[in-house]
Formats: sequence, C-alpha cells, structure tokens
Amino acid sequence: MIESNRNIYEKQLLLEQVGILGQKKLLSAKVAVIGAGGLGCPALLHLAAAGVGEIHIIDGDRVSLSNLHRQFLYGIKDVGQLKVDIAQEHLNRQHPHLNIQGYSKFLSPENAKGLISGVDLVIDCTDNFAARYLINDVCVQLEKPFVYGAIFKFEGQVAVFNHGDSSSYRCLFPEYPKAENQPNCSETGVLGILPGIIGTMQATEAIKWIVGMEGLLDSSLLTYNAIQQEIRKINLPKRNLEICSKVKAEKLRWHPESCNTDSSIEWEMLLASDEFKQIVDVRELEETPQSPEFTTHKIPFGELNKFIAQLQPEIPTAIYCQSGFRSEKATILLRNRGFEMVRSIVNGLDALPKLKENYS
Amino acid sequence: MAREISVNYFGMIAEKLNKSSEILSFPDSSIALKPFLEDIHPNLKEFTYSIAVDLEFSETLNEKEYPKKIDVMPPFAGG
Repeated sequence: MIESNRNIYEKQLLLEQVGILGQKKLLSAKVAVIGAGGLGCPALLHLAAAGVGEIHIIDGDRVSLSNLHRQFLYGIKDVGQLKVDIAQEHLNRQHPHLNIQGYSKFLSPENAKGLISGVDLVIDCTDNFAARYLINDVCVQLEKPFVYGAIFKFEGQVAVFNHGDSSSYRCLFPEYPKAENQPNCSETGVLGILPGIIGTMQATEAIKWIVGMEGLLDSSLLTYNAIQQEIRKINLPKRNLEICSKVKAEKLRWHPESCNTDSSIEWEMLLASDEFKQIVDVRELEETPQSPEFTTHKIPFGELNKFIAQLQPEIPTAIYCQSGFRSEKATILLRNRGFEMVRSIVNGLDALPKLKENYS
Repeated sequence: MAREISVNYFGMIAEKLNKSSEILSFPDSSIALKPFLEDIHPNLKEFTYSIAVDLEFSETLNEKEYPKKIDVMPPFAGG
C-alpha cells in the first residue's frame, strides 16, 4: 500500500477488524452497485470512501428534480444528465486512485451476466421487484453474493443473500409480488433520509463481507422503522435447494408480470434524450388532445398486435397513452414480442402539461 | 385454551390492513399460519409475504408453542 493511501485510511487501519490486511482486501475488491438512486448514492459514497478498489456503477436513469431530496450525489444543474456520469465524475474527483466504472444501462436478462460476472460482490440498490428478482437469479447462477436493501415509506430491509449456503432472495420470497403491490418511491413517497440509512447499512455489509468480519447479515433480515427507531433481525430460512436449482437451470428472464422502472420513463427524461426514435401513441385515434409533434406512430392499443410490423424492434421505443395504463400493457406486449428497449411514459399525456408548467 | 399472540404487520400490508399490530387468538393445535391469517384478513391473499414466529421465519405455529410475537413481512420494492 502506498503511503498516501495509508494516510487516507489511517483511522480504518487502526481497527483490529480491518488493519492493513483488511484494507488491502478493500483496495483489491470489485463491487457492482446496481442502481445509483436513493440507496445507491450513500452506498457508493461509503464504498469509495472506505477504499473499495473497483466500483462499477450500473444505472440507465437520468437525474430528475424529484430525485434530489434523497439522491445527494446530484444537484439541480445535473437534471437531465445520466446518473452514472455524474456519480462517476464525483467519485473520481474525490478518490482518483480508485477505479470507478460507469455503465449507463439498466440491468436486463440480456446484459446481467456480462455486467456481474467480473465482480466479487453485488449491491442491489434498485427500486423495483423485477430488477430485484433478476439480480437474485443472476447471482444464484454465477454464485455471487449480493447485499439487498429496500425501502417502503419509513421502513427498510437489509440482508446479504446467496453468500455460500445462505438463503437467496427467492428462498425468503418465492412468489413474485402482484403488479398492484409493487410500489416504488415515486408512487408512495419516502422520507429522504431513509434510503440514506439503508444504503449506508448496505455499504457496511459490503465492507464486512470484503474484509471478512463477523456479524454479516447473511443469516438474518434486518428491518428498520424510522418512526419507531426500531431495528429487528429475523433469522432467514435455510437455503431452499429446490428453488435455487430451478433458478440455476432456467434461462435468465424478466418475470412475465413485471412492469418495472426499466420499462417506464418520465417525460422529463424522454425529452432530454434523443435515444428514443420511435414514440408511439396507443390511444384511440379520435382521442384528444392531439398527439404531440414528436410522435412517430399512432397505433391504438387494441390494434397493436395487428400493426406491430410498423414498428422496428431494434429501435428504442417509448409509448404513451392518456394516463399511462394502456402504455404499460403495450410495453409488456412489445417486450414479449422481442422489442429490446421499450418504455412506457409515466402518467402519459396527463403528466405533460405539469412538466411544461415546472419549466415555464 | 386459545393462545393470545401479538401479530405485527409491515410495509404495504400494514397500510392495506390499516394497522401495524393486533392481538390474535390462535388455537392450541399446530396450525399453518398463512391460511389462518388469510381467513381473518382475506386481503393478505393479494400479497407476497413471509411470516416469522419470534424472529424465526416459519410457516407453522406448533402445538404448545407460545411465542411473544408473529411478524408478517412483505418484501419492499423501493430504493
């Protein structure tokens, strides 16, 4: 370890549980943080500050105004920019001796193995069940541990899954949640500091795993309630070999009922990006208001199967309707028909005037 | 004689049931917890969740078991 590094980590080196050996483990560790949002921001800052040598940031999202109260790597000037670019730049500036890599893409069944196979540990900082089940499945297949963190309003959960013979996420929650019970922070609201606490706990578990400390949360699920300031640890069930063997044997895929943030996009993001060359209105032809001028196709949802040949599956596609309901269904339909990158525009045309007001 | 046990609800389940805990009376015999709780709260059938008996995930409440609490825990999605 070079002298300047020794000085940076001096206070950590004094800890018996870390020491020079532990710090060397941290500096040579490779970690993937999936999601650079509410959980990802604190996790990334703490992992880098602790000296995790190689950090891969994976997120295809862009910064929006409503992110700023909890995603403190970003500021108002970053709105519309790729989160990965801002986070990478920030961490590089703070810790130029670390290898910070950014991947401005959402995790998908197609890219998951490529993105994860080269790292030692995965941190699940995503915000939807589809990504969480996918992370579990790819980690089971590649035999990688992952640090799970998730929040709901004032509550949080943390655990280390798939560490050796420990439980996987599917061992604890085998059934995929129904669509109506899949809230995320944009829908339910969240106290800004909560993901800060849970993301910090995830970074703590990651550091413990890398260094090899005792007390890893690989045999229990930690739950936290910010209102009661109450923490409890519930012992995880034993690894379900039948479930894990099935996951290992199957091809990676999205859960058929999934409709996640990877399948949605807000107007703000869409208009800041020139990535989406097909923008499809799936309302009935007679519906008003008129389609915005950037619309490339008008195909009513009920006719989508019939006229699907008008669309090119390899071109990034955004779909909207009046409220976002039909476009979500259309997104699933197109995804099942082989469209690689297709997004439903959140809240549809109902959200467009509100966006214009915010910027006027 | 029935067993009186505190049952705690978390996340969206607490929100849906509009309560975070209650005392329920369980029969003395060994029972499967999910069907028992879903009989009392049919809304639970909509959710994915696991149940913990005195901080151990378990699907059953055994005969002569007198836990202090039962936790009904759904996964959270947010991040």
